[in-house]
Amino acid sequence: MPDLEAYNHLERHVLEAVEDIQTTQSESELDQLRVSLLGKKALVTHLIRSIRHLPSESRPVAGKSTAAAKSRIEQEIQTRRVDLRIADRNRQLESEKVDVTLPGRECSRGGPHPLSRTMDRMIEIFSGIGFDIVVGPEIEDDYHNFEALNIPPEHPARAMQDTFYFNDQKLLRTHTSPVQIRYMENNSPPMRVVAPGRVYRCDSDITHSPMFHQLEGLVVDEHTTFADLKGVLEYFVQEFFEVDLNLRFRPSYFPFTEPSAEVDISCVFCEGSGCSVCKKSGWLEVLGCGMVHPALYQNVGIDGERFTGYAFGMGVERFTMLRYGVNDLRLFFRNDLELLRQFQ
Amino acid sequence: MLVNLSWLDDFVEHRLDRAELAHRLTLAGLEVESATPVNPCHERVVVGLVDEVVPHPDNSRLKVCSVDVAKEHNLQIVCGAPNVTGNRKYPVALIDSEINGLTVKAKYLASVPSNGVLCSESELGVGDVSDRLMELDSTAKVGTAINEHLNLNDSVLDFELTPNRADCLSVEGVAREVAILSSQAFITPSIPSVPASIEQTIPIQVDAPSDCPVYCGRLIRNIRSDSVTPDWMKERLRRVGLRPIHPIVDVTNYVMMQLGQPMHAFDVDIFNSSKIVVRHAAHGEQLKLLDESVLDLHAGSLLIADPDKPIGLAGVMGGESSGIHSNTNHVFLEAAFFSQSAIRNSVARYKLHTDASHRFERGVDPNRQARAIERATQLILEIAQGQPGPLQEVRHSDFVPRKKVCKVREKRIERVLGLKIPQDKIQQILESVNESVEKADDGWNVMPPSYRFDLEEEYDQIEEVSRIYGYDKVPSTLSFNYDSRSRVSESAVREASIKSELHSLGYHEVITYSFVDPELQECLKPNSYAKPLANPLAVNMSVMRNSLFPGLIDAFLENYRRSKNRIRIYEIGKVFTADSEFKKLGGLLFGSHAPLQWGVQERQVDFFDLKGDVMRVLNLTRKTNQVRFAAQEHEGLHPFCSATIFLEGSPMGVIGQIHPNALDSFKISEPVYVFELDMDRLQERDLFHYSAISIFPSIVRDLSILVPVDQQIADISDNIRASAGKYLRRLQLFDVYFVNNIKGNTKSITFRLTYQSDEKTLTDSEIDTSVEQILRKLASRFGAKLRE
Repeated sequence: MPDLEAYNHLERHVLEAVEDIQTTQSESELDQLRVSLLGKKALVTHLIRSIRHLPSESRPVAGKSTAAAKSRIEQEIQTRRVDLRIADRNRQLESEKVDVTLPGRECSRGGPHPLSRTMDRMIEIFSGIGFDIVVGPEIEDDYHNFEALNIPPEHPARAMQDTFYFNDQKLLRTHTSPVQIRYMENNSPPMRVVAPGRVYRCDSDITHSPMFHQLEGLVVDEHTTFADLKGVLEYFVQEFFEVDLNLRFRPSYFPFTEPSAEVDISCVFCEGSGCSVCKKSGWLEVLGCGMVHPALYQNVGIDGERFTGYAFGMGVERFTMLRYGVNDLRLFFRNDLELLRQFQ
Repeated sequence: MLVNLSWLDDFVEHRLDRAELAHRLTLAGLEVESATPVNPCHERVVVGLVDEVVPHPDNSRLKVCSVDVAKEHNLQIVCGAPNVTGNRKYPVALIDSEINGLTVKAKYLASVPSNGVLCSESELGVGDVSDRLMELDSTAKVGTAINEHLNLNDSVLDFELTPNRADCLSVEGVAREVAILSSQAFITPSIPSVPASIEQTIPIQVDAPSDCPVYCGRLIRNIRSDSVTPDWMKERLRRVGLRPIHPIVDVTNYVMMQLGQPMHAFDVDIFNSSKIVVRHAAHGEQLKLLDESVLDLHAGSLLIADPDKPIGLAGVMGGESSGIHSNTNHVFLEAAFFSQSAIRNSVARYKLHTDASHRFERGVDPNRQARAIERATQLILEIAQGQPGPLQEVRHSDFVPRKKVCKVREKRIERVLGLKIPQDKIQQILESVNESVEKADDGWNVMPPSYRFDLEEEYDQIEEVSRIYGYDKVPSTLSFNYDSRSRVSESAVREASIKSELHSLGYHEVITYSFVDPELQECLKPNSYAKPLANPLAVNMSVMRNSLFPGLIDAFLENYRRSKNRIRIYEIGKVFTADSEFKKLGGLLFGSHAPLQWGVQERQVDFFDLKGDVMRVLNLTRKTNQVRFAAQEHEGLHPFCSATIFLEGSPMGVIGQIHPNALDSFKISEPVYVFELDMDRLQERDLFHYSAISIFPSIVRDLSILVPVDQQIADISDNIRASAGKYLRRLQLFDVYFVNNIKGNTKSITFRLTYQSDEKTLTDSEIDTSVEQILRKLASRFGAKLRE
């Protein structure tokens, strides 16, 4: 027979239990405490079980108070459990603290050669306005490198391009222009291509490398005009330098174009006001171009009355130097990692 | 090509300042590289006449001169120049004038007062002679400022002429262009015919009329050998870049510069002047040139000869045996029209480039020879007197290039340019350039002048019209046109993807020369053909590369020498065989496997680092299971650490360590690893294709076996795949170690096998059966044992 008094002291028991719960320091301690507070041998359990022995009039009150006590303890344990878990997680997190300023593990990155970077950029710009990319051989024959381009033997223009020869017929191409011929030989208009690649001239000093890179362009269609040529080059140059540079088309001479022009851009360093790079002229010569010479059409069997076209050629090294401020051509072929890393 | 403005003024009143003139010429295609004023000297430098020269009392090297400068009294000037003599005129820098940036002061020279300085060319800045006084000609007016006497208030334009504009290789030619661009008249100078005062001629025999359609000559006898070139002519020659040499030579140069007609003068006394013959060289002939070099002539070269021997290489350079010298008395002048091809042949063959050949090979006016002779005669008579014979001309009209009429269509101009130029403007430009212009139905019939070699066809005239009208007036039009574009196949691996893969693996792209050092190449790839250049720049650039290794090694060495201890580089480029070229990807790996950092153990790279990188690249083809590395010896690579790479059964690359022998000479003892792959093989990939994802669980088994140490792993993997049955999805090798014990040398290898079915959940017994089967096969084939 339980002591009714015990039920009256239940409130104090709960208060003590809450205090015990709140002072637990770990979940396992809390679990142990839970057994002693709510387990089979716990006071509250005993009292609940003993209610049936109480006089019937006392049972409701005792029932209510024991249920309240049990639920209060359970609630407190749950709350404590959450708190302990949070504290636990926080402790764990703290123990996992890292120095975020320590460098990350890395395998260093490489990168393209600056000339490739420029060439890719040029190709991307021309691709964007409908140009195909074509290539040709670096060891060329005299016909494609010269004759078909309207440069007969002993033409003074051959002296402008010191040529590396293998024999009378085979040579290292001196420009990417033979790709024009090869492309026209094997395709029909409309044509809209650019041809990037290595070219070679027998010349080496501060401003000449025996090997360098050009990008050639060729467009042949029924209504292609000099105005279109100006438009395309203006678009290209402004896209490339991301500045609305001025262009100046100066009459010039190439055996394979007529009319021919050399193109100057307003100096990218001084914006045309005159500096050492542009030799105080405010202009930088960047490329050569012109309308495809009718002799070429004849050589490749295209009707030069029906079709007109233009061609242009530009030096990749020149554009790279202007774009990134590289001031010595020879650096490009030294392949110093110190330089290459700057372009990765 | 240099032209001074004061000379230009003889032929056109353009009224443009120097900068504007240069600008207009540049925009018309005659690129002016520089337009610079001639440096005038100080205004107090004047013409002085040395009346009397006496030796210095104390110093034997000095002379005391009494100099008339048209003032009340003569000046006393002490001078040490070797050529100071009485009754000669020299430039005098008066007190308070400046020469070489220094103010001239009255001073004592070895205790004799000196009131001015007698000047050399270099002190005035007009020439480079500094060890003697500049002698002025007798016409110089005493007391006149040197600026005025030498006409130093002048400017010089430096042109970069294109080869088609031979007509502008003369002052008159440039003046004609200036006249068009400034809308002023070209003042044709009158060149009167000089009457003969003697009857004598030298017979001219032209045996090669097709190469020499026009030959004009004139004998001038009894020129004064003490004559001097007048200062005005010397100055003009200097300004156009020619050095005054001798009055007769100076005159021929002057006429060439004025008219564009190269000339030559022969000393009649020193060769067999009974006849001048223009002929082709015979085999075995020799010619000693003015510059003293001796040519072994090729049969067919165009020569000027006397009846006995060659006396000049026609249109290029005169011979030593007929050259003008200081006491020449009688001269024969030559002005000819030689064919472009004859001169081009000589230039190419003998590698001789002269002012004359430069003009002949680009084209000289075939109607200007007689004028040139007359102009030269006139000048010689003025300067050196002499008695001219009659003008001689041998002309083979059939061979003289004739201009033809060409049709220029108005519509075609618009079609080519994309701009409609007003009809009257076109006509005006055509008329300004051409000899004759006739209006026709849909355009004009035009006839170019004889001095233009670049106006043969309609398109030439179109260029001329657009050039003079102004390229800047042509609009810019931009059309985005994709009509001609070809398809981009997804089966192609873009070069950019390959590069990007390499970049993320830490490789830097290099670009190396396509021609390499044959010795280095032989070292790296012995006994392979290297295509030689006929005219290399240097021995170490004399053969075409047949592999990318020499360039990679060069780039490696460049960086190794700069103490780089971690080098990863690659190149994509052509390699060359006897008659083909192939695009390759080559790479080089050296040094630490990772950049120096905390938390990563430092170690040197080995073969498998490179192999892993190469696999990453090969994976782009999506044919990884078709790749085989077969141990194979490559000369130049380490015999036990090199392999051929096969893709789909055929070789497409090599990989390995550079043979230590090849690196000995560079004193490199650490291993250097390289690879090279065929780009065309790398750029084809299998297309992506979806296959259903299995919903059934996969089962994993690890299998450790012991095999003989020399057993190649690839054979074991192949065997496992072949015997595992259809459910083996994945085979991963994840542990290899070497065991040395009394049973011999073996290695332990551990594979992880992943099984999965698309149709069902696999049972343990199915897997066990497979593993047993694998082990049985491995045991029988390789003597492999399960590791206990």
